[in-house]
Amino acid sequence: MRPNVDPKDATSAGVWFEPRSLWCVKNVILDDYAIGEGGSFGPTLTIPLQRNAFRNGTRFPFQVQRIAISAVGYPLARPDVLGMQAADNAAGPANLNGTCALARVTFQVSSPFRQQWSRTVVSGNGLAPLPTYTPNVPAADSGKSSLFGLNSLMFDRPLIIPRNGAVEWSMSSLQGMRWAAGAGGTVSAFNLPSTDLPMTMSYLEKGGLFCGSARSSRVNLRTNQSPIAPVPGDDSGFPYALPPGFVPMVGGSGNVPFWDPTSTFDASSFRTKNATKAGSTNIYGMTLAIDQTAFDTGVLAQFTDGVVAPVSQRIGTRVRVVGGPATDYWWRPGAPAALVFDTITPAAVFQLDEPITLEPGDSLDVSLAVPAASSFVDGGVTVSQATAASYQFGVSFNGFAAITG
Amino acid sequence: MTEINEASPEYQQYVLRVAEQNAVKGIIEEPRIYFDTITLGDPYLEVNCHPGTFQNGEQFPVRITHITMALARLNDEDEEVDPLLLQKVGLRLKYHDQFYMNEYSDNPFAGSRKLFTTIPAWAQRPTASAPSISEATSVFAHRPFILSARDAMRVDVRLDEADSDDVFTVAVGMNGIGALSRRPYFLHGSIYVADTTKQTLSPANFKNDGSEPIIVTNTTISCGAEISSADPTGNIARITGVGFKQIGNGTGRSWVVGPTTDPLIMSDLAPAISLGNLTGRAVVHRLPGDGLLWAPGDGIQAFVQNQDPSGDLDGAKVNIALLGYIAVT
Repeated sequence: MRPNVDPKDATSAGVWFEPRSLWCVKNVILDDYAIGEGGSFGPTLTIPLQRNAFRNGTRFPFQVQRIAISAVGYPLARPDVLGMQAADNAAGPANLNGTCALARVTFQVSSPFRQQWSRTVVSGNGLAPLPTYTPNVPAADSGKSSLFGLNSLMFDRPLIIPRNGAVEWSMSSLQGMRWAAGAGGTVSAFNLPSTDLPMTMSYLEKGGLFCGSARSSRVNLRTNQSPIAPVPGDDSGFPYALPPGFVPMVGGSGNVPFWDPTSTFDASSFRTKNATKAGSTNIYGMTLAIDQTAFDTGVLAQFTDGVVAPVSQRIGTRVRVVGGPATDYWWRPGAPAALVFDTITPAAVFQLDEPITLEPGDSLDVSLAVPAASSFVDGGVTVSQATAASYQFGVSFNGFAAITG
Repeated sequence: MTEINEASPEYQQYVLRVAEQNAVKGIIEEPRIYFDTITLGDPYLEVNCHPGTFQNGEQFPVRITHITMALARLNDEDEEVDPLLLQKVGLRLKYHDQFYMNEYSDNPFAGSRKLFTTIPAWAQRPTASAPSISEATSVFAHRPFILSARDAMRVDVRLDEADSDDVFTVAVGMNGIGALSRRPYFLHGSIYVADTTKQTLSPANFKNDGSEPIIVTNTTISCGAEISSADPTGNIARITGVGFKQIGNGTGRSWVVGPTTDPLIMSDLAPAISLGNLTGRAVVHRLPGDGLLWAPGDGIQAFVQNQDPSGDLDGAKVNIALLGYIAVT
């Protein structure tokens, strides 16, 4: 890690910039961890994330501009407290069974043998996040996920695609889920809606008579109705583990692969969309609009007191340039869309005041801490706190790579 | 980020310097709003804007910098429309046989039906203000204009529904700084509005009584709740028309240009939700680079498409606005 070098200095030297992200999703099941001395975890359990996930394994320097953090895999942002009380005994308190549990997590970042980004742990909601979300929904739509259903990524540096180059962008399928708690709760077991969700994937371009254009593809985000149960406690990324009280969908018929080919904006489509342009293409951003209004209505019909989370916190993505100087995926495939499309996103995004550059082989150490014990003793006083049986959070470091040679 | 961010202090300082240099050079720059309210057709039908709406009808060049898109609150039968349904509306612009954002999306699932790029996919940046005011307020960050000493602004508003039992507070504020003193100015006026009649806020609220010109940088429009309601949440989409005209210097022409062929639309009053290019509830697309330059007579066509086969959008109306400024040299 070294101080930032202004990449503008390199523009005239033929340097090529591509968005990049290093990310990890960690599923924490408290029962998997050994209890320490005294028969208790203490107030929090600190878990280091895989260092390899935050290692710059490419040949090119990677400049980190922002950090994004988000709960991953939860269908609800704020749970239906009454309807999910059954999970209290089986799988943890209902009020931590949604993406809002991010408020209970802390994290710490450091670079091995060098320095810490922060000297102390940082609360998930403790930094000043950027304004990144769409306007709130009106009262009549209370509980629905978002006004526009949108994620976007505006690039830090323009992406210049050569004449015959293209970008290949895939979205994963949604893992079908079933609320299984049933007994004791007010909501009976049911499958979450599995109808296809209309999704528009767009590249925004500069240039031309109209000062810009776009290449967009309207596809359907499909739900895998026969998913295999993901491995809990795994932090390899995807398929993401399911939150407490949920199991893989049962009785469904559609077996959709994680990388469904119909949810791909492939290189040939990219080229077809703009066959007349003579020179290179200046792409300055990408947007992903997912119309989940029907999904929201279906979930709220059961969890009447809940708030639905954007599905961008439950689906993976991968992108790469074809026919350019670098053909690496921009991030390890499977990164949650909310973590890497960080200009408009439901994730919490922090801008680094001064970017940091990871040279090839450099890595970051990242740890997450979650509330572990339901009570702990502080100065002779017993303090009680809510804790869940499991948590799932993702962290990403977003920026761009400077590619030469 | 690579595109211009109007909210940044650096950009604000830049446009202030430009405004001051313009004053020295004798160049008048004034905001312009070209808008149309288009009624959606049957599912997948492509509907044109009103003819000649998005066209520079003045003698000087216009630069378009932003496009905003939002659903009107009421459909053609005066029933409320869910604003989330904007996710099921497509938009396409056409300029000299070029399409923006593109002619059609790839669409492997809807058979032979061709779809425009859906409107939310046009948004690049967050525009949400605080939830407590988000539903009621639009902030228009426009090219700065000079409100000369003893000039005033004429500001007109109207609601989208005629119901004499309901009274709403509509407020308009203009922020700027003194050209000489650099002190901040805040010109603000409000009015009770009860129906669809065009009403004018008191020009005294928007008069520059000082001894120096004011460089006005942005304008805020808000619509409060019905004044006797226990729910204080307003709705900016209720203001179906807001218009501006400088009295004194400037071009002396209405900033707002709308369709003249539709009796239901006042051509000099734009929907307030369409002005929220800095914060508000519209989808905002900033054109890349310096935007689109219209010579006199130049213009574009807009097409919208209902992409909801369920029928929930039948008769709904979409507000499309192009925001920019005219440069009089």
